[in-house]
Amino acid sequence: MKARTWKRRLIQLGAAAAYNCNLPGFFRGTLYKGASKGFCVPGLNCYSCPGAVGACPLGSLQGFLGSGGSGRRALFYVTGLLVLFGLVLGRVICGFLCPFGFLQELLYKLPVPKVKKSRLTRALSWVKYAVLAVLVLAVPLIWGFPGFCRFICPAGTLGGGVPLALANGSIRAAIGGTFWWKLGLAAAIVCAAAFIFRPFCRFLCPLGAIYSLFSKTSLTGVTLDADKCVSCGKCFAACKMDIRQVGDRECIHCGDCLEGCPTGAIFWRTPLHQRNRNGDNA
Amino acid sequence: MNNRLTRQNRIRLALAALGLGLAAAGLAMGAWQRVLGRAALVCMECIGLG
Repeated sequence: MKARTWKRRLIQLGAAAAYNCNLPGFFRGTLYKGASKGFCVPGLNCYSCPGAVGACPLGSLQGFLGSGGSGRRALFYVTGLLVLFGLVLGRVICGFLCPFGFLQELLYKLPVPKVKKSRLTRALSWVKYAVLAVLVLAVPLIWGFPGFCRFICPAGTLGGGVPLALANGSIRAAIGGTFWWKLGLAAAIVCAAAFIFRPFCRFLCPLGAIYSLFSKTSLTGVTLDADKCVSCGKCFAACKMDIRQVGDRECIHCGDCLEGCPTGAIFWRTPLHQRNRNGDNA
Repeated sequence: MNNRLTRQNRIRLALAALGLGLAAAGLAMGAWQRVLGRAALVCMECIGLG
């Protein structure tokens, strides 16, 4: 594995461990209640996971959208954090700081036939925006419950539901149809991840959809120097996401395209080191 | 190109101001405690029991 990939794997592992470092919770079947849970972590990580020491931004967003009166004031904070995460990191969060994305990437290492990106997968990449509009925004606003968490979120099922059900008898006794639906969906996503690169991130994740809105403005990530680009298509071929161009809404800034570029047209920008698209320091 | 970049940086500044403003306003209204209060309880929907 390349040094850059190792570095990214370590950051992914570190983020997953940092989000879920309350290890005793897994044995007790209880949640962490410390002050850090008032902070929303940038990646998709269920706050009902016994190990979680932070809050899930999507769960918080839906929860406060669905709550009436003064509860909605917390939306300012959650929305503000999402805007700041999007501005500073954008979908770098998907590539480096999301435990569920990390899990899917590890599953994709399994030696099974792979489904390559195509026009179909590109079309399916729009589904996540519908999930965002309907289940994350409309359902909580209209019906008052978190639609994405209730019907879809595999991070909640695998990180929260399964460990709590295993360790906590009263939760195990309350298991019903919704649990089995979510477990089946999570199992399907996990199985699909062996064949398809990050299927949940590409097709369903509403948090990725939110961060993709910042693809043109985020301060960190890979960028294409249009003047150096010779349109050889090597970056497109090296990328397993449904991108049309390096750094677009589907790019998770994993950096797989960096080595393959024959003209060095792809570069990494950070908040402290900005270059414009001509490659000059800005 | 320069105009485009200037516009992009203007958008970035506006987003930074918006994000910081919203987060600060939320914190001033007790959002940290509200998020903490929600996240410290088992979310029945999240774990599939809701």
